[in-house]
This record gives sequence, C-alpha cells and structure tokens, in this order.
Amino acid sequence: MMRTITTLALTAVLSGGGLWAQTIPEGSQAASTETGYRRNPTFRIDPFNNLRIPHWGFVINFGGTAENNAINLNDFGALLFLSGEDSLRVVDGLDALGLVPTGSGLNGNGEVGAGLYIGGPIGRSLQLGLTVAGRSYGGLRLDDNAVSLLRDGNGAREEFSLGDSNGEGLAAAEVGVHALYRFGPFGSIDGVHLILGAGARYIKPVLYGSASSLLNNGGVIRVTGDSIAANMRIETLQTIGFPDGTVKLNDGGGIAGDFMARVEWPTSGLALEAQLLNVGAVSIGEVERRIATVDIHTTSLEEVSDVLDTLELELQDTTDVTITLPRLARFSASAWANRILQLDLIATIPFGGEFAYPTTVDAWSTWRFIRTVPLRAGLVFGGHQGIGFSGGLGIELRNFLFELSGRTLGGLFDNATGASAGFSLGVFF
Amino acid sequence: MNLLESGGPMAIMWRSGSLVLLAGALTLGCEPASVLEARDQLGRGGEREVEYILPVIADTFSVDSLLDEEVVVTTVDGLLGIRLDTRLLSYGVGVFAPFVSFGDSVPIVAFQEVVQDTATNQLDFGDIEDAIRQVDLNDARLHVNVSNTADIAAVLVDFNLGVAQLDAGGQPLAPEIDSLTGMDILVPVAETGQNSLTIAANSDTSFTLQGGALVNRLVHMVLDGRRAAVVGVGILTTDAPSGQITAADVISVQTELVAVIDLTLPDTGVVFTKNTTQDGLSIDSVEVPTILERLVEARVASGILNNLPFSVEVDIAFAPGDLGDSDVFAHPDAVVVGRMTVDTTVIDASGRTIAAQLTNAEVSLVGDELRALLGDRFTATLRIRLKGAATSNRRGVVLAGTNILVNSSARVVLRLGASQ
Repeated sequence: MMRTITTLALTAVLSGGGLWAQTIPEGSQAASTETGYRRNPTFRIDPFNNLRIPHWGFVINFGGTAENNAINLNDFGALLFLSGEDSLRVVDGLDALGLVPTGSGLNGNGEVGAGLYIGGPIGRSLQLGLTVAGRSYGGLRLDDNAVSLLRDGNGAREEFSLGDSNGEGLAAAEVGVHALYRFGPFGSIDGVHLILGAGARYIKPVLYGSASSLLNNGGVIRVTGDSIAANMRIETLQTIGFPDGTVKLNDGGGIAGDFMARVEWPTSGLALEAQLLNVGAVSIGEVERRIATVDIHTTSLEEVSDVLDTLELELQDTTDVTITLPRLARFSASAWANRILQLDLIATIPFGGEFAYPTTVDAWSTWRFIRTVPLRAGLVFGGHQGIGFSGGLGIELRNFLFELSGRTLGGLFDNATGASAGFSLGVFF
Repeated sequence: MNLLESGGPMAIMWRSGSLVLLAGALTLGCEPASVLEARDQLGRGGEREVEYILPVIADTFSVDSLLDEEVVVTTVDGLLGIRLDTRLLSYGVGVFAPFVSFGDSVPIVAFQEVVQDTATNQLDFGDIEDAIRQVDLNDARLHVNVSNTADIAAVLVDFNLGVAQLDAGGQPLAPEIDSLTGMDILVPVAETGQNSLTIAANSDTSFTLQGGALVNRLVHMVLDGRRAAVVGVGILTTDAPSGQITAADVISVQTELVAVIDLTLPDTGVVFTKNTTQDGLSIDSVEVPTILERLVEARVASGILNNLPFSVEVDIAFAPGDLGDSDVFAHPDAVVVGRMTVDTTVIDASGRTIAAQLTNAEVSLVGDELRALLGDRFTATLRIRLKGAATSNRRGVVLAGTNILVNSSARVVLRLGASQ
C-alpha cells in the first residue's frame, strides 16, 4: 500500500511539474514573490521551513496534526459535551464504538510542536538556523479484535483478543541546528538552483509512556454462555512521574538528522523537493516497567468483576528504552499555473519508526491576488479516512511573516476525523 | 484499572497534554447545543442490534450442600443420610434394685428428650427443613452402642427403643403407635433372631438397626413443636453364674440417629424456598432507563441435568436490595420469573435414579423486569417444588453425591447506533 502511494505521489509530483510549469510572466505576482515564500506550509515536522527566508530574524511556530479513523470532530465535541454535563452513559459509549469501522479497529495519532527559530543568511549561499522546540508524538491503536467484543457483541463470535492494540506517547524538548546551501544558478543567470540542506536536533525526552500486549496476538478473551476466559499480559513503560504529569528532563537523549534537497527553476516557478526527516533514535532513562496479568477462567461474572477491580500494573523494574523516532519522507512539487496561482503537491510518507502515522498527500493551490497576502486552498488525500480539505492565508513581508493554515482530514470541517493547524509569526531584520 | 490514571494507551495520548489542547481547540464550534443533540451525533452510525451472551450460572448443586456438612453422612449402601441426634440412655442398676445376679430380672425404663438444636447439630435439617416437614422418612438407621461396666456379663431381654411424647412434667407417655399397623413403634435391641442382647463384662458392642418409623415420628414430633423422647424399655439380667451387677456399675445404650434421604412425597410435592442475595450489574441508576429503552430482548436459557429422583419446579422472584430471608414473592417490587420445570429422572421401583434427565428451559425478561438486576444488589427467592414420580409411588431415594447440574446463560440484545 505504502509503495503504491509513494509511487503515485512521485509520479504526480514529477508529471505535475511538467504539466503546470510555465514561465512566470514579467511583472506578475508570481514573478515578484520572493522564492523563500514560494514554499508552501507543511503540517508535520519540517525543520527547513523557516530557513527558506533569506533574512536574519526569528520565527515562532506552533503546529500540529491529529486524526483517527472513526470519531469526527462533531463526535468528539459530543463526547466532551456529554462528559462535561456528566451525562455520558454506557450506551453513548457503545454508540460511539459503533463508529469504529469493522475490520480496522480504532487508529489514531497526533503530533504537536512549538518552537522558536533564529537564523539567517551567512554569505550569499548559506542559510543557518537554530531552533529550540518542544514536540509531542502520540499513537493509539485498538485492534478490531478488542473493539468488536463491545461493538458487535459475542452473539456470533466468542473469541476475542487485544490483537496488536498498543499506545505510545512521547513529549520531548529539542535543540537543532540546520543549514541550507544554495548552488547555482546553473547554465544561465535564470538557470536551475540546487539547494541542499542538513541539520540535526538533540532531543531530550520529557515524558514517555507506552502500553502493549506481551502475549502473541494480544492473548485471548473468550466469552461464551458457559464461561469467561481471559489470558492477557499487558506491559506499560512510563517515565517516572508520567502518571502525575510531572515534567522534568529525562536522563536519556538522542540525535535526529534531517536532510533536504530542492531544485528550483526560478523563472518558470517549478520546484521539486525531497526531504528525509527525523532520522534517529532516542534513549529514555528511568522508565518504569509495569505488567498487569489477567488469567481467569470462570463461570462467574462476579469473579470477573473482582479480578478487574483488583487488577494492578505491578512494578517490575526501572530500565532504559530506546525508541526510533517516526521517520518521514516528504516529496513535493511546485509550479505556477498563471500570474497569480501556484500549485503544489506534497506527499508526506512515513517509513519506519514508532507511532504509525499514515501517508498524506496535500494538493495546494496558492492564490496571490495581492503578492504579499497568499490565500491557500487545497485537498488532502490519504490519512486515515479519505479526502480532506485545507486552507490558509499569510502575510509575507520583507520584515514580517504571518502564516496561518489548517486542514481537515477525512471530511469537511466538523465532519472530519482529523485536523491539522499551523501558525507562524516571524520578524526579520 | 483506570487506564487514564495508570499509564495505559489512553493515558499516553492524554498525558501528551498538547495533543489534548489541540483536540480541544479543534472541537471548538463542534459542541452540540443539547444533550439530546449530542446523543444524536454519537448515534449517527447505522442502527444495529448487538447481542451479548454471558454466563449466569454454570455450577453443580449437590443435595449435600443444602445441609450442614457436620451432619451429612454416607450410609454403607451409598445413600445420603443426615446425622440427626445422639442420645445416651444410662441405667444405674441401683435405681431399680440393689444389685442384679444370676436369676434376677430387673425391669428398666430410661429416656432422653430430643430437642432441635442447630448449634449442636441436633435435628439440623439445614435448608430442607421445610421439605422434611412435608414428607415421610422411609429409612433411618440407629447406630447403637451398648456398654457394660460390670465385672460380669449383662443381658438385656426384650429391650426396645421407642419414641414417646413427654407430659408437662417431662415424663414419657405411652409409646407412639404406628398408624398403619396400630402397633407401638418399637425397635428391638437384640441379637439377630433372639429377644436378648448379651454384653460381656467390662465391654461394649455396636450395631446398626433399621428405625425408619421411629425416626420419622420423632422428627415430625419435634418439628411440630411437641416434646418427644427416645425411650428404652426392657429387662436387665445376667447369665453369669456368679458375681453381681452392682449399683456402681452402669449399663448404657447410646443411639445415633441417622435419617436416610429416602422420602415419600405428598401428591402436591414439597416446597422449600431459598434466598440468595447477589451483586447486580451496578449500573448507575441514571443509565438504567436508557438501557431498558434500548433493550430488544433478554433471555435466560438454562440447561439442567437432573439427578434427583424427583421432578423440580422452580419459581424465581427477585427484587432490588438486600432483603435477607424475607419472602421476595411478597415484596411490592418483586419480579416473578416464569416457572422452569425440570423433568424427573428415570427411576426404579425403590425410587433410585437410574438415568439423569436433561431439561432445557428458557425464561424471557422484558423492560422493567430487568431493573432490579441492573442495580447494586438484589435478592432472589427460589421457590422449589419437588414432586415424586407415580412409578415409585412418589418415593425417592437420594444417593450420596446426588446433584443437579445447571448451566444458565443470559442473552441480551440491545438496539444501538442511529439516532435513538
């Protein structure tokens, strides 16, 4: 599946460049837009985004994306509302579980980051930036084998399991240094530019937690008219203080590398870019390992209730864990369609690491009726649930940047099952 | 285990606080205007009926368990018995005569009152006491131990154990009479084929006698609140040519009464009740109406393998709360579940089970009938009626270990999804 999406995205990127690119008309908005501002916003980690602007200054960024495959924003609002009204009932929960697609289980993840960038050009070709940021990753999967017990009942099926249900979350602080080097133009003064970027971030974990089954296929839960049997063994890993939300820098740490290559044809407005981001691992120290075991075979519901009431995650030891950061590859193609319209295609593809993010493809149209005030609209493909919609606006001046963008995933506005938002505010000298 | 508090998957998302902030921010403007609207939103999925099947009971109920384990005995022929009472009838020779020597014949009478005392396991019928009141005990065993402390052999001649009502002064009246035979209810204490029993010097001897009629009468007298006693009447002599049984010697008869569960039931059967208080599903009372609204069907299906030599009719009533031993059938909020009838086993002419009988029974509960089961605690009264088979003249003999296997499951179908 991922290979197919990747191939399609690359094909779209490459063919799109050829189809849409045209020489930017003299005097058009397109021609006078600074090349740094021609790069469209992205919603997940993108440490090179601020480096695009060839002036010294600082930028404050906030952004994030969260999605799942079942509960839309209206549903989530309803759950919060009922919970706030102390009116959330068992049947409401069962109704909500009915929204989880059969066969898929409940999948969700999110990523949020906020940071401060300071940087600027050194010489004609080098751009250097320093970033201090905080970032959280989270992923949750409730296997359909687990969800179906409550969602579908056990009338037609008696055996269930946790399957590969798991959850994981990491909050970390990071400091990064990134650089871009611009080569070219090649061939002529309007020739192609090659921009190479690289950087690294030192990541310091703050909070970490995970939960997963220790038994193959998530153990067994068998509920029949005669008996209830369950054999489950759940392991949680959590930094000390995690349950209380105590925030402190962890003893562990790690390095993540980021790489970028971009090719621009300034006069035609065509640009192709590839990124390889978040390549690295983080060790996390002082992780408490706890295990809860359920091994019951009974004919009594009361006994099941007693077992669940007394179930505890028993501390096993304190250890170190290493997690692979969620790597992603991003391929984008950008071209001008006419004097005011820029088209972009951005494929963000996970390739390994934790948290199991889905692939997304953003198709953007950027309208510059006023050169410094881009208006953006687009479609989003992929994610957990089909097509979404995106939009944004910016104010892009020599000394000032304001950028606001958002998208919905899997639907339009409040019927979406996910959303992303990005905000940037920068001042340049 | 609260996964939010203990670090489970939900907590991981939750503790990554910024994710929650983001989610909260994204849902601004998505809040419904009312609880009803919120519920309609969550019910936007297609309407579906979801069936849950849960075990209710999968257990073995043995007749033994209805009795105090202290009183349960197994007879040598494998029948279930109840140790009812142990009496010691002692005879100080000096009471009747200065001494007994060869050729003397001294009449003796002794008795001990029998009272019901569950603290000492005397006449303790446990949960089947009500049933025992209504039946005839066909079989009872008297385990007798006769002791002689004299230096010469003692001989009991025409010695009989009987049962008699005591008068207001605590003295025995005439022995009870068997209504069928018109004869005194007596159990001879003698060697087989003889009318006497010889106990060697300084020794004792033990044996078992059949005493169904005696025990049956004794039990009913006591359960009916009449004062009754085991009475021993006979002649004491000796066959030793020399020596004496003196006033310092004791001739005693100790009887242990064991009633075998060999019952003849009346035409209408016998009824006994049993109360149990159990945990309900502990569903918040606010939730209960909603669940009842969504209820499509609730059934309790039972497969019952009966080993008892009787048919069983079970009526169940339950009501919310812990009602102790009170009759739930009389409770204003009682829900009476439809009767389940369990067929009798295949039995022989003596009332012993030859082959067990499997019966499937199902009862359906609707709407408010479920309300008591959804709360914290409920009390159920089981009214059980045992009926004898005509083929054995309503007589049934319970073997030790006789049980009923019950396997019950609840099937609940709820209507979920869509806007309710």
